[in-house]
Amino acid sequence: MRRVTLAVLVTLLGCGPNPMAPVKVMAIIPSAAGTFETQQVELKTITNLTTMQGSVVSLIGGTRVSIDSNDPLQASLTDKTDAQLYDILVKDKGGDPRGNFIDRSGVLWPGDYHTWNMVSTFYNFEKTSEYFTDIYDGKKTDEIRNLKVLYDTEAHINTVDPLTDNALYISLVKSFIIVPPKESQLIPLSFNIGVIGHEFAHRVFNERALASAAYPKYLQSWNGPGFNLIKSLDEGLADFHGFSVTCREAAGCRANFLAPSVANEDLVKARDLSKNDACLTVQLRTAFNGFSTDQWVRGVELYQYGTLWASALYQAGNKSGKMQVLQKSLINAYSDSSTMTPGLNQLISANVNTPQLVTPEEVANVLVSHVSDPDLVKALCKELSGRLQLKCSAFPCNIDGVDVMPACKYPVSRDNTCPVLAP
Amino acid sequence: MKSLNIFSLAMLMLSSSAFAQKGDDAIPYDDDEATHSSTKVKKGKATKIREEDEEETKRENFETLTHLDDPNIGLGLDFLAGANLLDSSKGSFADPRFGYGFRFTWEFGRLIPDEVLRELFFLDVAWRYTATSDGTTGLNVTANQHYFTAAPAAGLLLGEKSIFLAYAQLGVGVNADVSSVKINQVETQIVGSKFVFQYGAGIRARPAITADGSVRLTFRIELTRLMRGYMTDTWLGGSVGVVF
Repeated sequence: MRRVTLAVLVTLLGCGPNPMAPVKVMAIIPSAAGTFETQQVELKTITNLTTMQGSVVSLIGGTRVSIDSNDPLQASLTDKTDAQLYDILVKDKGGDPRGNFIDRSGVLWPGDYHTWNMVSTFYNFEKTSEYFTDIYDGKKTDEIRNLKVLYDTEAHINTVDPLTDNALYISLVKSFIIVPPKESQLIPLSFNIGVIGHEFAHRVFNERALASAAYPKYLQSWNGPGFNLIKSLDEGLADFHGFSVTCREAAGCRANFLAPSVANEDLVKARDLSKNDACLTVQLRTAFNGFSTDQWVRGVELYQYGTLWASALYQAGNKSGKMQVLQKSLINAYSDSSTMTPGLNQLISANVNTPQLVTPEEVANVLVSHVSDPDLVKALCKELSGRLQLKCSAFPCNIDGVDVMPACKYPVSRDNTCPVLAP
Repeated sequence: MKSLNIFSLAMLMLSSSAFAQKGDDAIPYDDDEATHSSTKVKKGKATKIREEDEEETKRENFETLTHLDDPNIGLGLDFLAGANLLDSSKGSFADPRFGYGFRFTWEFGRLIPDEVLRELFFLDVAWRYTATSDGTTGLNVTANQHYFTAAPAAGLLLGEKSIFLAYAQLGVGVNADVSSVKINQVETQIVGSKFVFQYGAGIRARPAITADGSVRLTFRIELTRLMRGYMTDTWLGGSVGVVF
């Protein structure tokens, strides 16, 4: 009897709930009507619910990250391994979360804000991983599994005050970072699957297009349009995938997926993939060609130019009705070692010392060259040429005896939604 | 009541002299005692039994009346407040919050006639409360932790006749977790419960506030750990109250 009593006491007090996956748990996600609600979800990749460990992501709490150019330890980061970088930049290593759950009729309900947030964040990462696994289309997915999420981190990115109201993927520490929201914010970013999809896409871009470099070479040495192009392309592709991930939820596709989380309506509108007037302007073109790396990463132009790419992809996918084909084609375009259709990785690597050769036309050609569907090829060539004001007004395009964007091999004219800018 | 107290005082004085004599072998017996001692052996068996009975009766009277020196019945009520270092679900060291509550105390040690032991035991029946509220204007969660516990305690007085008692206690109870999830002003309420195991230590003082000591103030400082399921909260606090 004593043994039984002791056993019961240990069960009552010992470990947190750790049911085998799939685990039924409540999370806060959008309903079919688009409003965020508490809903039952199933976590399929969780290995320990209490500590939020899983085969896709594991959450780590109580960390502090500092990227500080004045830190002597960070004087030379380029020669460090991933493990060394993590050790240097993650100042407080944190520990396992301890989710607070309430069992109600076999369904686990989070008992406080952070547990709601962690479960919803985990769910969003899991669904995003499903999306990318599908569009990897049989490729190895090791690079998008067993990832770290530094939850509610105190993050200083060359700032005295810690960051708030953000979610990031930082290749230097190969981790996602969720920082605390501002009180005035709407739905915190980590509850927003579009935002998680956006950040996850940065991971994929880093792994495939930038060869898993913690500190990509182009970041170290490029300055000007080449740098600006790749940074914006990374953001634009991330927005496109963020939008794509939302399509798998009950609420359906949300081209303005930032809207539930960001109160600034101008910002939400500027990043809305569905807006038809996403066009290159003279001011943006001037900034693109003239801004230094520092100006570009600190300015809104980085995202404005990225949105042009995202909108072109969105419009082409929708107009052709081949959105999933486009999603898979983009993954193929990130890295392709064939000489006939090199990927973005190969384009960037081949031009580390000649960034001027990495142009919007070259990048657009890489993307289109990985699309086999003729309708989608035509739609992409029209949209990219129109919204980004590429050199060619019609395809096939030959300028001064040189084939420009040879992947646009079907006869088609530039989309005329955007006004043509004078050179 | 007054005559009772005088009687008790007299009994106490009597007991003091008795204790003083008991271990004092160096004091010589006077002649009367020596004579009495020499005649003692001549007494019959019945006399000896009678004397033992009288001694026993005296001792019982003393033990029975000891508690009458403290007119407290040993029931008290405290208001408690402090820092509740909640087990951090997000993996930080702790999530410190303000907590408060009420505590009913029964000094069940007063049922024990022994003068010392009767001061050392009590039982707390407490309600403690701590709330957390986190999130944003668009999505926030308020979680109310209620702890209902019963915990017997045992202690040691910090000096003879001290009003301070250092104690340790163990207890059990129930945690009610009442939370409210508010998303864009739409509210969902969730109620759950968990088993609570409590342990801790503290110092308790009970100075008299009436001349006869029938009403006393109680003060405490305490460190109590409250294990609600697998989450362990640490309560660092104090309390003030009265005991009758």
